[in-house]
Amino acid sequence: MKTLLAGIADEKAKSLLSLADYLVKKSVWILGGDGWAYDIGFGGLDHVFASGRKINILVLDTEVYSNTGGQCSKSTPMGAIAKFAAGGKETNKKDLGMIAASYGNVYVAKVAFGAKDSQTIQAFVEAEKHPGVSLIIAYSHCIAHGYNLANGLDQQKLAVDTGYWPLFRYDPARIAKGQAPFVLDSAAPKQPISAYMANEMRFQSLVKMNPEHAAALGKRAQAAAEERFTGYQHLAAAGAKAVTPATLAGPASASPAAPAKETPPAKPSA
Amino acid sequence: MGNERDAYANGTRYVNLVIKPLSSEKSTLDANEAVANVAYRVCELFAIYPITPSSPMGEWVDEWSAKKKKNLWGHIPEVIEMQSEGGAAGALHGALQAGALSASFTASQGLLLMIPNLYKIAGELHPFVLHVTARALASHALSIFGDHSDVMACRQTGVAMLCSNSVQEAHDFAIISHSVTLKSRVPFMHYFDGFRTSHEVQKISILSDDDVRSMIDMDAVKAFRENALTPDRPSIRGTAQNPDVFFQAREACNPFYDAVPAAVQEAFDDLAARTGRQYKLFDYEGAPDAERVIVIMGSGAETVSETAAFLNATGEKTGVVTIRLLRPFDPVAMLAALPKTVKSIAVLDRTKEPGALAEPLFQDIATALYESDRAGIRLIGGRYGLGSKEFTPAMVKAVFDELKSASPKKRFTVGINDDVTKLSLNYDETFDIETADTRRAMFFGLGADGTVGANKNSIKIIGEGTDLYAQGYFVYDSKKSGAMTVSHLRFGPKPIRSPYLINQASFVAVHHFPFMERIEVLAQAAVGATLLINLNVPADQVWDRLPREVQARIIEKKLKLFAIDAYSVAHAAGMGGQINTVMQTCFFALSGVLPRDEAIEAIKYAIKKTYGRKGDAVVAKNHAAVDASLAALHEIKITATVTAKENREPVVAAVAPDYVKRITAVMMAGDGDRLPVSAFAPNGSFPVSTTQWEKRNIALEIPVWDATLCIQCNKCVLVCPHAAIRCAAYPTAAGEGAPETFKKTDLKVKDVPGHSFTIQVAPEDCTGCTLCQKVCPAKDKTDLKRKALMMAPQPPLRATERANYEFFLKLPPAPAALLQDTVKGTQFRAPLFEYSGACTGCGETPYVKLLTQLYGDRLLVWPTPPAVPPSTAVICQPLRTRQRLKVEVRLGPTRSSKTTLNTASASALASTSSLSSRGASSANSPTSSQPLSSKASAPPTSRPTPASPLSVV
Repeated sequence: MKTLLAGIADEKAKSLLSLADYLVKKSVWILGGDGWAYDIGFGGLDHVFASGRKINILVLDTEVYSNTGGQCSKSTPMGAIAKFAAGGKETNKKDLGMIAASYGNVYVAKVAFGAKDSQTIQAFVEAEKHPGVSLIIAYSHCIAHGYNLANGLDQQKLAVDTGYWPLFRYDPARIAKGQAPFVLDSAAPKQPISAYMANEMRFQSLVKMNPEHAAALGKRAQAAAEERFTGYQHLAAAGAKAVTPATLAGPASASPAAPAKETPPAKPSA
Repeated sequence: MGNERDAYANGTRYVNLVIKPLSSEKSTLDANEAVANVAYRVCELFAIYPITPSSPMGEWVDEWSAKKKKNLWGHIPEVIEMQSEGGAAGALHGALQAGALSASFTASQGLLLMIPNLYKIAGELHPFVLHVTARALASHALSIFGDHSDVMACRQTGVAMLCSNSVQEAHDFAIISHSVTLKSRVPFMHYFDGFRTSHEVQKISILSDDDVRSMIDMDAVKAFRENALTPDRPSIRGTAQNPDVFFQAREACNPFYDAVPAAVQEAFDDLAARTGRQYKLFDYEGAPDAERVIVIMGSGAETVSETAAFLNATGEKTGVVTIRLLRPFDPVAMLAALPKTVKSIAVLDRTKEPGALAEPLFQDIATALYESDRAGIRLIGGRYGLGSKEFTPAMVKAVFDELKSASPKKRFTVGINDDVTKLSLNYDETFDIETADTRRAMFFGLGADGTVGANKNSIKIIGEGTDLYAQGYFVYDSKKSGAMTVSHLRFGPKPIRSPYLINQASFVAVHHFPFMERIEVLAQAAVGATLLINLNVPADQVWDRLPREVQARIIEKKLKLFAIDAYSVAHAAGMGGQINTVMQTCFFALSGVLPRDEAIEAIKYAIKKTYGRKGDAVVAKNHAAVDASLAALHEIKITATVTAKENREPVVAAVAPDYVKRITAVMMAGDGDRLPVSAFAPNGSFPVSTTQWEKRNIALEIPVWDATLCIQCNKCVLVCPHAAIRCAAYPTAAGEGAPETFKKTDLKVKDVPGHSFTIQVAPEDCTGCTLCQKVCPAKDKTDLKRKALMMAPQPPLRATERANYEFFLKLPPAPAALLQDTVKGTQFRAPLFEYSGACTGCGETPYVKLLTQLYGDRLLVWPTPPAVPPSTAVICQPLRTRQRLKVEVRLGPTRSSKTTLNTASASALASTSSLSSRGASSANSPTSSQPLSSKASAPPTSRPTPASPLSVV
């Protein structure tokens, strides 16, 4: 087309020639790490979730601030030692995927190419096709985890097999087809997550430093992983009506009776 | 809690301390540790967020807190990591309101994120200290390195600004800041140069707990606590005020600011009384009757001071005024520091304010002079050292010389070659003032090979075991794998005040020989210096292995050459690949810092101290390694003339594009300092597709493909973090004329007959991570350990596989029928994100690469870092992957039409934790990045480029 346009003297043709490249739809992607997505950039990221625009987000999740040398983020798992968490992280990794999915119209996938590469590619393709916002959270093994990265793919597989990193896709397009939007792509855990944690220095250094604390956190982390997996199973089993994870949260929070905090009852707003 | 509060309030709670000065009065450490060491002792709460180069301070206090170390009052300080510096500053504001002694650490964009709260903290007169490793701000490019752009952006917030110039000063001024903020209620920003000071290891005097305690006024602490927000003593704060009262209420703080300079000087004097180290708000050094003076702030002041002393010894009359307290600015103290004889002043600023009449220090000095009786002094101003550009005695001399000139440049730059706006001063690179009594040593190591650690250890051994002073500074390149580290060590009888890289080394050690084949490592070797090489060949073959250029340099500089096969020695001693002890021993034996026997004894003693707890056997093993090292160390005979036949390989291939040869290759060779202003696009953009020209050859082993075993699944191609193993399906005829060793087999796809299939490795780009071999599912049924990919040593394969790869890249694209959205199908497409500087085995890059394979021809990528400037949309920020960013964006369907968006040059460095950056590259915002089109590959500057960018004036 450009060749043809170049041969036409008409002003409109010239104008079209200068814009010809834009006739090809661009594929727009935001790339960031977990420090950005879970912490410092989260406010903006959430705004993008809510925008409804056709834009794709790929989070390369190393579970620490890799670039500044491995400091703790809200993606860092419970029981891991990181810089700024020298005593071991006490709280659970935030479930960013479910936060995004709670909008109902955001495509969300959690992937790990070393565990199931076909699912990774499927998620990339679906995300790009999705007419709104998409979010892919990609397991990224990292030197900050403290093991020889030659075993990175094995660790990815273990992360999935133990239920530490469940693979899923939440595709709003499935609702129209009468299907549950949430698809769980990994099988029920075959091993405890301790099998995964045993291979990484970030967990093992806490075991060496403070074995009781490490054991306690390990136990809580196992329970949390099981709860999360069960929750995902429910979502996957739900019908097309159960469009958001909020449905899962139980009657208390789903209840419309809960008053909004900023509106004092029975008093006119200033 | 109530009891504790009372104990604090009446100031009686002095408990014995747990954090001791680090073993002795003198200690060798960097400024980050020296500052954290003080802050931890006098604070109760740290709200932090990581950013290079300040993160180690946060890491220290977090580690101490986790280990339950106590502060001066017997409390374990609480450390809270927030979601951003904005959050950290907010948490601090709250903590201060609640009466907790608090501090934080930050730099650069992180500091900018704190600005809104700094106004609040200052406006409400909360005692508080923010320790800042002064760092450049991202503009045309990101830089993790040092200058004053960040702190200068806070002049207006109301914080007091105190600058330290060295590791010792950073330690001392830390307590000055904490002391005066409590007394004056004005919050302090204490800052020092990022990397140059924050990461420089020096032997310094450590303040004792008594010293620190004596500087804290417990009445002030009591007053601070009584000011805490509490329902027990209700108060109203943080109000909104209307035009009737806001202005006059804002002026109410003036007396507090007026009192700060005297309070700081008083604290300086108190410290001097205890330690003998006397500081002033403005310190003057130089000739008492100086005519020419430089006014400067930060580590550069040390360089000016050294240089002025050198020049004065030759009869010149020069001096330096060092600014310590920048805000509140005390003009009387400044004028008092200035000798009456001064006729001209050059003010040096380490920041840039495009469009300003002059940079901020200049404006301050100009105002102070204008309002004094000395307005007749000639005043000029210049910029230096942006983004950690070296600032050397030669540059200082150029500035003093300019002051001598009849018509000096009113505004100038120094340290670069500005061939566009002609602002730069010429300087004589050979000017050197280092004294003979200081030993200077340089070490070229491979990232993570233990060289830096061993050098830090050597500094400790010498610094803490002898009366010698020691300094260490470590330079890293920007790759995550196969990085070069250069250690600069100085030892001498006097405190070392040389905050610049070594120019004349008396000892040069090359721990990783391949560097000698690639770059000039002897440029800084002094005449007659000792050169130590680690090379795994017998001593009598060492000389012949050196490239011609290296031999010529050795002969020309009359170097003494020693060699050792450290890998073999370490291996025989049971230390695996760790050569650090071996090389350290050789350094001690050869460098002359200590007498040889004494040195060997010192290293053995240090080994005993380090490994003593692990048992005698471990100590004996290491001692044996020391002896074995000495036995294996050989002096190499140097011939009178160059005998080698091989020249060093060119940095980039002869077929590389002109831009790559003129600019990228110069940067790769370590000569980027010589590139002039005109070499660069004014908006920071770079041409694409340049990574392919940097052949790094860092893999010891690379995969070798067995076509007969391969099941053609392409998984190996998918997992490769560096796009260094690829597959191709092509008409069989296209494979004709391939090099002899090029491998191929029939494509096993039914619908696509008549095609061949090849898996090809890029031998010089592979990093040897083995992920491809690990993922390979094709096993030999007769030998299950054999896969279709097996690792083999790279050197013997390099040349043949290089030719094979070149042939491979010219093969036609795979037929469209194969390009399905599957693992196999996606991998037949050319990756447009290739040969990145990521870590060996990176888990992030395969995703990015896959993205380019799926949508490369229409992909728009916005990489994001955590450091989000407050006013910028979140989606427009640099990539925060750990690797040097090299995003390639394909624009056409074929390999040949690809272009690469390369924002690599100013990006993250360091495989070590303390040196990596937050945010790997410059912002790529919609306004600044033109839509990528094939035009983007044109040279980014339309200005004519000088014939030789290498010329330095």
